[in-house]
Amino acid sequence: MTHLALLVAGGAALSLLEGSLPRPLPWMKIGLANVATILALYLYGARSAFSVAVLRVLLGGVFLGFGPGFVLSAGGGIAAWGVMALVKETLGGTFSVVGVSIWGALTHNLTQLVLAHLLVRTAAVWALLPAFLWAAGVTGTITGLAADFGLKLLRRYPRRVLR
Amino acid sequence: MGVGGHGQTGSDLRRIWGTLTPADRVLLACLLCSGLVWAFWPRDKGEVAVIVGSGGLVAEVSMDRPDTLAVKGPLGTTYVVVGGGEAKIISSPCPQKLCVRSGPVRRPGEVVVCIPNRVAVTIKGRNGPDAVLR
Repeated sequence: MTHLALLVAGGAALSLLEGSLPRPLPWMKIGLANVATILALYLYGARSAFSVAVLRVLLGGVFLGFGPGFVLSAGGGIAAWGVMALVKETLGGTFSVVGVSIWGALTHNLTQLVLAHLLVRTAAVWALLPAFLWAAGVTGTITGLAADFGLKLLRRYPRRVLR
Repeated sequence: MGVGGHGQTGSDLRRIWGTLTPADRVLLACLLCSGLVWAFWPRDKGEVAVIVGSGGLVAEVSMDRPDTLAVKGPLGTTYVVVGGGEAKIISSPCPQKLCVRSGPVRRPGEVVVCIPNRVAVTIKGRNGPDAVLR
């Protein structure tokens, strides 16, 4: 429980930190907050990861408001959890942490396009699809490597620390 | 050796590549390729900017003549400037200004969107909206 709370706080801190990093494209985010969901998924399982994803999104809403940005972040974050949990459970041996993270980024981006389509009510947003696919590859890899690093670090500690 | 960071970067990239499973690599390669193919696909020149607001189509304007359009949305007015073969959002009452920072769009199929104020600007070529998908 305490560790999940720490992951939620860590995820929120990472997303605030990320806000201060330069971006190659204005709408492109690395999605470092997703590291928290991935760590919870691998250390504590899918249900705990769901709690972390939901709480992290709510915490972000408290900081940044509950506008359209919150809808995009909530939809993306929770859909990404669903697909990452599914891929990890069914194809966990085929995809590494990085692969699972890329699936998460891909889901996150596709969900955002669907939500953007609904919010702006124009299919024009789908013109961004290839750019979003490319961005999912880049950001998913960066996030996945960060999560992989975090997992290796945390797994060095004795098991009881992780309970 | 030891001059510049290239050797170091190269070995880091090799190590990272080594940690990926074959499935990871295929997935990553597919995503990166789709973006690159799209970015370098040859296209017509953009002719018309299609501006959509919360109430649907606002205007279709030629990008040859300079013009400024005021589009009303739930947050206020978004200003779209066309001219010189490009279109851009120059101001919008949204919190993050991602639409303004996205800069101009020129080629058919490109789009700049302000999600909070429900405004989208899409570019069409001479041959209509399908020019990109032909």
